[in-house]
Amino acid sequence: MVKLRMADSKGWKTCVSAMASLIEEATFKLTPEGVKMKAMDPSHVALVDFELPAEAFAEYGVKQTVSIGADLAEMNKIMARAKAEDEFTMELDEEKNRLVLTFKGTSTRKFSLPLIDISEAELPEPKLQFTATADIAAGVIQDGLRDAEIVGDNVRCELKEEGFSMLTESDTGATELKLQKGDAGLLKLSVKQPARAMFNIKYLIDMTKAVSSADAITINLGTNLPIQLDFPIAKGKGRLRFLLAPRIEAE
Amino acid sequence: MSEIWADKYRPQELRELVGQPQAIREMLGWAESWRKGKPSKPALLLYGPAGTGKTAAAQVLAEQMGWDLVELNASDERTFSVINQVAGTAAATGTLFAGTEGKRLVVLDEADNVYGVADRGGYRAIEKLLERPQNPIVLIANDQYEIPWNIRAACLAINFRRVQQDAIVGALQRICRAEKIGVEPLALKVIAETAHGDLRSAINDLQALAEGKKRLTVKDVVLYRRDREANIFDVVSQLLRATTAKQARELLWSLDMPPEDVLAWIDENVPRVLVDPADLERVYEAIARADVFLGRTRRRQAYGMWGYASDMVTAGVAMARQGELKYVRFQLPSVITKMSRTKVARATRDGIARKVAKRCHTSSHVARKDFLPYLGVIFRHDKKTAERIAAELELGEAEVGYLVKA
Repeated sequence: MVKLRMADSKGWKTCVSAMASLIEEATFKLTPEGVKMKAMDPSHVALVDFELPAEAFAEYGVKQTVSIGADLAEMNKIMARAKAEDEFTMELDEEKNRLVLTFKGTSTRKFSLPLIDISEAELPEPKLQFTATADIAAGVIQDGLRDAEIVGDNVRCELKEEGFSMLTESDTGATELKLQKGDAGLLKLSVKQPARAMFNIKYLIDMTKAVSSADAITINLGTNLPIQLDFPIAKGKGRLRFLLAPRIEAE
Repeated sequence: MSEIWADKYRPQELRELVGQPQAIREMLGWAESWRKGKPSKPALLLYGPAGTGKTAAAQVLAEQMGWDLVELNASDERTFSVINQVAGTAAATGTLFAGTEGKRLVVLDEADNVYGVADRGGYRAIEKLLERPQNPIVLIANDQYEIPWNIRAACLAINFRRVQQDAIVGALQRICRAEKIGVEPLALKVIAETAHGDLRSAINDLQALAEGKKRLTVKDVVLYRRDREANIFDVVSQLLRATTAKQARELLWSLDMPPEDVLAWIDENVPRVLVDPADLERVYEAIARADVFLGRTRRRQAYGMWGYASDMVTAGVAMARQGELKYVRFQLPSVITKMSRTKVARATRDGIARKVAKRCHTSSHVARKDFLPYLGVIFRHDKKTAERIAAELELGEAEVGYLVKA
């Protein structure tokens, strides 16, 4: 009997919403230690790496490792129906091969979601040498991306000793966002070597849209390497990490 | 289920690919120019018959070059926006493992499958994709001429030929050795011959025949071959002896034939072996209902109805029979022979109907049903009017002949 309970549904809701914008189907691996999910988008340019340890749940009943394949779009639709403060339970109905999601608030609502078989190829772990990292308020990034979207498709992200910047240029114009040391939005900065690379704006928007603007996003950069974005979930116990490969700049 | 041999023994390196030395050389040359910079033709078009190694070659090339691999198959929905988004992004972006230094091979399989591609802007998306890709691209097709010329022109086209019989035999031999199966050399030759240069189907046949066996003989192979051709006869005779609905339904699974043809075969042969008239009535009821479902499938493009037609024609027929059977030699459905005999006449008739339809502002269906019989009467009895009509409709000699006889 597999049963997971969370005191509220907000955390799971946020995570699923962010994942669903990038990938269609996912296999959640439930081990006695916690829930893990790792998947690449169909273009192989983005990777989601999600981990939520058993401690993050109010009740965590997993005796043996099981893999649960689910259609994320469907799951997201269901989670969208939950109120943030609803108590949230996931149960595996092995007989019917379904996942039962229950929201308990002023009433008790139940949804069931058919499980799907997904071929599980073990994803290799990218080993990347990032040279700069920063903690930035999510709201700042979200605003910057929305600015950039007006102008172009790609944004250049840069981390230097002075701070963080996002620059977009195209035939229709240019936009720039700057965060300097001491600005309220820049919570932490550590630069071994200045780093910059260019990324697809749409992907970045999808990755960042689910977090609340008050949270901090940890950014890791290396010149012409993928960008790594970490979001705090379950009060820092779990992790939601995105990797996005850089655009190759046309010569 | 055990692993499919065609996958299990797929080549690990490009030079292991069977029977395509020329194609391999060209592919390696192209890949090398990608390593140095950007080739004048950033995309490949691999074309050739099924089972000759096109997809395998693309996959192995990616592995060998250390490129990330993204495949878009025909099973994926391939509209403009999907190709543009998935392949377009893949072609313009570095990899997750090496950033902008890394390369990714974007493979569009079955690029000539216009079904999903042509009408929804798929080719326009491919065109856009080929404009300025930062990553190598491979298009795969059976028929290169199904692909628009401007796309073809942007690609380096490489031909995959039917695999030579000797090469197929060699590949089958290697598999037999690895699977520890003793084999008569002639047996492999017969399989290779049947495959007509399609290595994948040869390997599939070998697996179907030899898996789990210690020894494969010529006799096994010959029997198997005849079996495949004689299948419909077996299905019809087994169908009559089926005792459960499930058993009857499953008979169709092994048969590679559209339900219309199966229906024709059963319609032709089953009633003739029945003895009891009550059986005959019930069996025809089942066949008739199957035909109704098939008609709905065709008219409304509702392929969901296919299943009902298949069930009626198998389980429905099998369960309807209760009485005895007599022995009759099965024969080709008369509807097939009739259709082929009347092919010319039908074409002539439809030609006339189209001409009438155009002049009378009606559909050719109405023209055929309502107008042609009267034209026939006129042509047989009133020569003068017939001549005027023939001139007006610009009827040819064969068409006039048809109307006179009709």
